[in-house]
Amino acid sequence: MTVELSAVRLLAPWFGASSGVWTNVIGVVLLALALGYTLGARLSRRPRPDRDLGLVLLLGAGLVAWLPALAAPVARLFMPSGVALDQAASLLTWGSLAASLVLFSPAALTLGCVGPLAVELLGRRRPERPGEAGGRVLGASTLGSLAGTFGTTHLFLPELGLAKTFLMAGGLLGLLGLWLRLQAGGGAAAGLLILLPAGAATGLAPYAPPAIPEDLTLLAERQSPYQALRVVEAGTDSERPMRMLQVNESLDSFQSLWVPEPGPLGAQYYYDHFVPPVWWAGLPSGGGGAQVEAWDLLVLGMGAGTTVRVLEGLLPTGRTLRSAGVEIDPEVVALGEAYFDMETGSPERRVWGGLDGRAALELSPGGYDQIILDSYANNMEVPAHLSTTEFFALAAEKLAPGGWLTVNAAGFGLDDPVVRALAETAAHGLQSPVLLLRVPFSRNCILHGRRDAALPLPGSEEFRVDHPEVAALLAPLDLPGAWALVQPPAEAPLSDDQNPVDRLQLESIAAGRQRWVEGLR
Amino acid sequence: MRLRAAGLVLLACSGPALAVQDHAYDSRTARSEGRYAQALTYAAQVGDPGERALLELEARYWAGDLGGALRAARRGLEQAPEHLELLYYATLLPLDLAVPDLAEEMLPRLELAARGTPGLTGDVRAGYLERCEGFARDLADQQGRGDQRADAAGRAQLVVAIGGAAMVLATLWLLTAPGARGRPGTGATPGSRARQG
Repeated sequence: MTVELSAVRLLAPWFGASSGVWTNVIGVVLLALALGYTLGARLSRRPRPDRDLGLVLLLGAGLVAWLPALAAPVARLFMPSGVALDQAASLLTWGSLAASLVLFSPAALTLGCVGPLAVELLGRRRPERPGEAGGRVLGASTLGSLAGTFGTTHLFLPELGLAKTFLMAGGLLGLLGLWLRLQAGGGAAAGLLILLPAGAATGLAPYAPPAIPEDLTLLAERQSPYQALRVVEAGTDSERPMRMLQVNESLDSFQSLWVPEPGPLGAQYYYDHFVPPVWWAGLPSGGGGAQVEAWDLLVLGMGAGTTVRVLEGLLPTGRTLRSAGVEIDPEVVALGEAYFDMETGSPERRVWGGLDGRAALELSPGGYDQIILDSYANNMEVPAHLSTTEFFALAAEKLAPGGWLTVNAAGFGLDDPVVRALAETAAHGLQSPVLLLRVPFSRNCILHGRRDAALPLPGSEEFRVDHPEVAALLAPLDLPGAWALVQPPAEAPLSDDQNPVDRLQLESIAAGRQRWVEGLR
Repeated sequence: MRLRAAGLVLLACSGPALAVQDHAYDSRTARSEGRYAQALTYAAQVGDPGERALLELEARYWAGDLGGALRAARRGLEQAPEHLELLYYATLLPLDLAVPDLAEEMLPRLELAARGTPGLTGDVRAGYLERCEGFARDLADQQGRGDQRADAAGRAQLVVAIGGAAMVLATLWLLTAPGARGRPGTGATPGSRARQG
C-alpha cells in the first residue's frame, strides 16, 4: 500500500493526481498482482518456497527502490515538456496508464508472488489446511496494508518525502528477503547483488521531477498529504515580482498568486472578477466615512489567500472586508502565511485549514454578503460534491438576503460543457438565474448568482460601477457573446446522486481551445 | 454658378467619405476608451467590408475575445481576400490561440500580400515580411510540439496495448494451463512435517 499510494504522487508532477490517474495506477497494480498471484502459485510448487520467497522479496525490493530514479525518464516518454493544460487531455489518460504499466507492474507482479509462496510455506511448516494458511496470510498482509495506508499519507510522505519513502519500503522488503534467504540456507550474495545497485540508484539517479522554467525562481517546495506543492516567483529582480503556488503537474496553471500590493492582478486573472458584487451591492450608506459597513465574505478554496488580497485593494470607501476562508490542505495555508502575506490570526481574517469546503459551509453561521467558490482539486478537477444542486442550495441558505454567490468556472467559453453544467446547476440550486461571464484572455468564466434579488446585466446602468479599475474590468463584458443569463432548468445536470462532472471535464479538455475556433475550418 | 456647382459636387463627393471616416474614428475612439460594445456598433456602420471587419477585430481583440477577433478577421477576408491587416491578424491570432493549422493556412497569403500590396513603404513592407518569418518560426515550433504530443500519445497507446494484452494473456494462461506433474514440494523444506489428512 505504501508503494501504491506513493505511486500516484510519483507520477503527479507529470500527469497530476486526478481520479483518472488514480484509476490507471490502481488498475495496473491490480492486473500485475493478478499475474503475480498466478505466477506465485506456479512457483509454490517448487521444492524450496522459503528460498524463492526470499528471492522474490529481494527482487521486489530492488524494483521498488529504483522507482524514484526511473520516474522521470519513463514519464518523459509519454509527456513532453511545455504542454499546456488543455493540450494534455489524451496524454494525461494514456500517458499515465503507460507510465504506470512500465514503472509499477514489474514491482507489483513480483510482490504478487509473495502471497502464494507464503501460503505454501505456512502450509508445509504447519499442519494446516490451505484455507487456514491462506486466511492467516491474508489477515497479516491486510494489517500490513492498513499500516502502510495510514503511515504513508500521514507520516512517510510528509516527513520523509517521496524518494525516501520508496527507499524505506524497498529497504524493509529487502531486509525481510535477505533474512528469509539466510534462514533458508541461501546465500546473501543474491541479496547484495540486488540491493546494492538499488540503493545506489537513489544516490546516482535521484528522483527528478520536471525542472521549473528558467524564468522562475523556486522559493519553496513541499509534499503535503494531498499534493506536491511549490512556490515559484517570476520577475524576482523587477519592480513587481509575481509569486505563484503550483501543485502537482501544474502544466501552465497556478493555484494562487501574489504581487507586492493588495489589489487587482490584471484583467486576464479571474480573481479580479470576484470583485464587482462588492460594488454592485451599492455603496455604503452614511456619507462622509462616518459609517463603515462590513462585507462578510466566505471563500471556499482559499488557497494562499489571493482572493482576499485582491478584494482588499478594490473595496469601496466606507466598506471593510470581514473574511473567512476554507482550505483543505494545511500546508497550503502554511505556505500562504510564509510567502503570500495571507493573514489568518484576526477575527476579520479567519482561515479554516484542513477542512472540506462543503463541511465548512454546513458548519458556518451564514449571513454572508458573498460566498466565493474557487475550489479545484489537482489543478483542474471540480470537486464533485462542490458542484451539485444540493451544494448550491445550501450556499443559498448561507447567504444574507441579496447576497452573492460567485463561482470560478474553468472552461473554454460559455458553451464549455463544465461551465454550462455548473451554471445550470447553480441556477437550479439557487432557484434563480445566474449571470455567466467570460474572463478575457483566459480559460475561465465567472458565475454570479444572487439570493432573492435581481442581477445586473451587461449594458445596464446597474452593471456599471464608479471605480476606474473595476469599470475597466467590466467593459469587455458588454460585448455580445461575452455573457449569458442562465435560467434554472427543470432538472439539475449535477446532483449528489448523479454527477457526471468527471466525464464533462474530460470532454472539456479534449475539445480544449478548439472550442474557441469552432466552425473556422 | 460654376464655382458653386463645383463646390456642391465636391461636398457631395466628400460627404459619404466623411461619414465612413467618422464611424471608423468613432469606433477606434470608443475602443480606446474601453467602450467595446459601442466600438462594435460604430464598426457595423462602416461601408468597406475589410475596414468593417478590421474594426470589429480590433474591438474584440482588445476586449480579450481572441476567438471572436479571429472570426471577424476571417469573415472580412471572405469579402476582402487580400486585406493585409486582416491577413496579419488571421495569422497571428491562431498562433496566440495555439491552433497552428489555421495560421498555416494564412501565412502564404500574408507573405504574398506583403510583397504585392501596392503603396507600402519599404520599411512597412520589410516589417511585414520580418513578421512573416517570425510567424513561420512560431508555426514550426507549435507544429513540432504538436507532433511530439502525438508521438507521445501513440507511444503510450502502443505500450498499453502490448503490455496490457501480454499481462492479461499471461494471467489467463497461468490460470488455465495444467499444473506440473508429480507432487509438488517433497518435504525438503527444513523443519517441515508431513501433512495430516
